[in-house]
Amino acid sequence: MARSFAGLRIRERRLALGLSQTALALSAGISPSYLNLIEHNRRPVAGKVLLALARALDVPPSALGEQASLGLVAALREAAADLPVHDPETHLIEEFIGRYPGWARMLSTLDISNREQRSTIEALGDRLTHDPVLQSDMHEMLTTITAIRSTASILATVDDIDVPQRLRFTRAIHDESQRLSEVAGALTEYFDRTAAADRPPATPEEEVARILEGANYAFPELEPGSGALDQTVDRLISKGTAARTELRKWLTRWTADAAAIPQPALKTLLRTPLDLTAAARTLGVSVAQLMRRLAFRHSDAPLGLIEINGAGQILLRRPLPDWPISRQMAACPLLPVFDALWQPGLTAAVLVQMPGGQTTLAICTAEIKPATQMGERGRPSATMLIVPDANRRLFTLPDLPTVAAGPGCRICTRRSCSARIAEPVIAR
Amino acid sequence: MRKRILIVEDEANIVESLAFLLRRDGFDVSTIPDGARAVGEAERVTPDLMILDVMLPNLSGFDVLRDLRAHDGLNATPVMMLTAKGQTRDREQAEQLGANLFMTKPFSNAEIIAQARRLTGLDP
Repeated sequence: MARSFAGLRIRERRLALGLSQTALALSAGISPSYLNLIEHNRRPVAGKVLLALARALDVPPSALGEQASLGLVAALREAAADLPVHDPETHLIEEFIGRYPGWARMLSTLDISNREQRSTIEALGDRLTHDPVLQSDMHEMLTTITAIRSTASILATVDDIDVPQRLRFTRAIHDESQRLSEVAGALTEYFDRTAAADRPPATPEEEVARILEGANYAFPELEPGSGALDQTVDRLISKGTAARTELRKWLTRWTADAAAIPQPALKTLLRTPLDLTAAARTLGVSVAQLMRRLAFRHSDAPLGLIEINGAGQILLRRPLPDWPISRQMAACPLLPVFDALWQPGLTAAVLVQMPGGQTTLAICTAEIKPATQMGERGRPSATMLIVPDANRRLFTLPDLPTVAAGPGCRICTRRSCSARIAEPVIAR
Repeated sequence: MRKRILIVEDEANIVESLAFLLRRDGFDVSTIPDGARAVGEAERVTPDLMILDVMLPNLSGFDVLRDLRAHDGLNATPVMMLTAKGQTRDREQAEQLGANLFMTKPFSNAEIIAQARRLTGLDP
């Protein structure tokens, strides 16, 4: 049973209200000497006396009572046991709760959340080690790589192999590489599927990203003259969540873009190859706004988009199957969207070449949002429209320079890249 | 007298390259793709070294090794185990059962040959 610490709270509250012991005792209908004993934890306080003191101190009885805090004492004991390295003063737990109930609750909440996260990490680690699908696919992959490596090494180092044997080795490499492609594809698909199905969204941003993807980034009911923003937000997400605020912000901006470039105007624009700069000027909108309108709409052949701020943080994104854009991803600094930040006002198209050799058209622009008051600096942002080959016909394009970039240092195979800031995981 | 090696492995392309390399290095090589028939084949061949995969059809490489170590005539046969899993507990299990060497895939050809020569006593 926890030692009484209600007295401490009563004392703290009385002093905060600037009351003397005599004044409080009088208004609670007890003697000052009895109140003195209670405040020094020499007498338990409960029942009518507790109710009277709570009324006099203008707080709910639970804020003074002991029952509400017993769970907290146990929780803090657990927290202390979790991190004994700091040698917490466990004999003072009750006094700590009595004096600082808010801090005590916060510490307990942090400890619970810490334990939950630890168990999630352990479960994920366990899964990576024991998941039968992963185990089987990894086994198959390593077996295939072994066959390819061993056979290729023979072909590269042994000169006197007769023709039938050489043919058998060549066929083996062909067969095994095909098998490797299949197992690699199966693994990727497995990760995609389990990532989408099992894991709840980790952050509000991720939750919003899933909602937007589910809606195909299109909200016909928010086209000019249609429904209300509130109804759409209510339909898509429950109240009182951080993701709701994020989603509302996103949809407000989408609605503004839709009002600036209504659907009929967009359709007319897309009938002929588009010069983004000229079209934006004609419509009286910014190039970035037109890019957003082009990317965030329903389309069987969608365009991807990244918008970053001056610090390089990703503000908006529409990923494509071949261009996954993770908010957490350390983006490749060679992407042209970062170059665009240095040249606000310029809209330029380039071909981005990935380490595997494949190229994708990227059109970038940057703008500076004006300051709202004297002395404040404008805020730069850059937008990159990612155009898959099937959509190139949408745009009129000059001769395109090619720039090399990658998927982010951790998974990039350009070993000698001067922009590298982290070792690739795949090298290990 | 040429040293004899029995490869117990169900991956045909790995068998093909291993057998090619070992024969080229002067070994007499037999192969069998099935765990359940491995000890019987070893009785017939009496190999100087067994190269034994862990994941085999019908009987795992660990079970084959256990049977081999309990076999009066074959219990001293050196065994090189191959596995695609580099996990500690597999290695520990192989050592407990009496494997002489544990090689993880993907291995290098040169390493396989060097170890085969060592385990058959051709090299120190």
